[in-house]
Amino acid sequence: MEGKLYFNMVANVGTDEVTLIPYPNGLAKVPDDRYRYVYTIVVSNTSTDLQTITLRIYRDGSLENEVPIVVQPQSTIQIGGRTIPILMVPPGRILKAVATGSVVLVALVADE
Amino acid sequence: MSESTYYDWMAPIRSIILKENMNFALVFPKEVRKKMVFELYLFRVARVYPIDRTYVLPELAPDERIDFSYLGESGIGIGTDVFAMSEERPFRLLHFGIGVHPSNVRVYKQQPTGFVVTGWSRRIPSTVGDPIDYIDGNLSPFREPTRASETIMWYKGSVAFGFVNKESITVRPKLRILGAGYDVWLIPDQSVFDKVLKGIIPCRFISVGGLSEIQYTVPDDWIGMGFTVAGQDVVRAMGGTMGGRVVGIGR
Repeated sequence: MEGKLYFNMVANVGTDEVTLIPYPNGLAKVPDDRYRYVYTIVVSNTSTDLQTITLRIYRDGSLENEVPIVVQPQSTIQIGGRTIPILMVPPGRILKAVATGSVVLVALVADE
Repeated sequence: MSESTYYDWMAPIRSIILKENMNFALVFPKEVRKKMVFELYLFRVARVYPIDRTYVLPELAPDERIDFSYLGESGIGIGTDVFAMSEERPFRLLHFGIGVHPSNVRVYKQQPTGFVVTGWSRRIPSTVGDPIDYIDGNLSPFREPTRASETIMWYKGSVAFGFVNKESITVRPKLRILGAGYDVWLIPDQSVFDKVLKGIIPCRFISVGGLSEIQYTVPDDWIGMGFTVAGQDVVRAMGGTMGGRVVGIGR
């Protein structure tokens, strides 16, 4: 059986909340018949200050859940791998992100 | 023949491609409403050679569709049909499966062109995007196309495809056409066919166009060489005498 289709979510995240969408082009809202599994998150903080990036799960415009991730100054962190998802976004939700400063987010994701 | 007793959708197409000296019959519908009458052409495989081709589709955004058209050498509906058969080869057939990548791209088939292949009983034929009558990479994976996508092509046959991307991201789908080409002998002998119908002579039966009510064309060289089979022919082949009820048999 063919494997799942992985894709990236890539975003420059700052103090304005951004919607995370599949790269290069895809659905921000998780389809009704899928779950969006985030397998790996990489966050890069090039500033000299500690930054916090917060992942937010929205349902129909309402915030349902959020996960803050702290990143040390001038460092990059990686959370997760390829086999076990670290975050599951249910059907119909949208994943957004906001940070205390400018960071870069890359995530490895699959809708299943 | 390496074929299970029962119909296995997920059997790899490799396991049902025929070898030299095997028999097969193409089953075409003549009447499929109140009367069930079919036209069969019986063949024996003389030569076999594998076919394997990857066909790349244009990029499709999530939910984007391509309506039914043929697979052209220069693009969907552009250029020569990749399944075009030469008029000089009326006894050449292509027998193949279609693997799909990625998994959630749905492929709808018309065979012949204009008749959606279906197993359902709907008044209105399916269109591209309907929740039925498609194969995708879950049913027929790219690396190992399955029987679910089994297709047979002949000179004067035609096939068209429609696509819809049900992935969450923009993708560039690709198809793997895997199977074999056959050179065949057409067997017009009634007594041989009777033995096939009785199950005495092994034969692989291939339904053409699913269960749709199709209008089909065969090469001139086949005309008059097929067998029309109705219910009572089957009963007779089974040793019956048609002395019982005949409701639904039809001719």
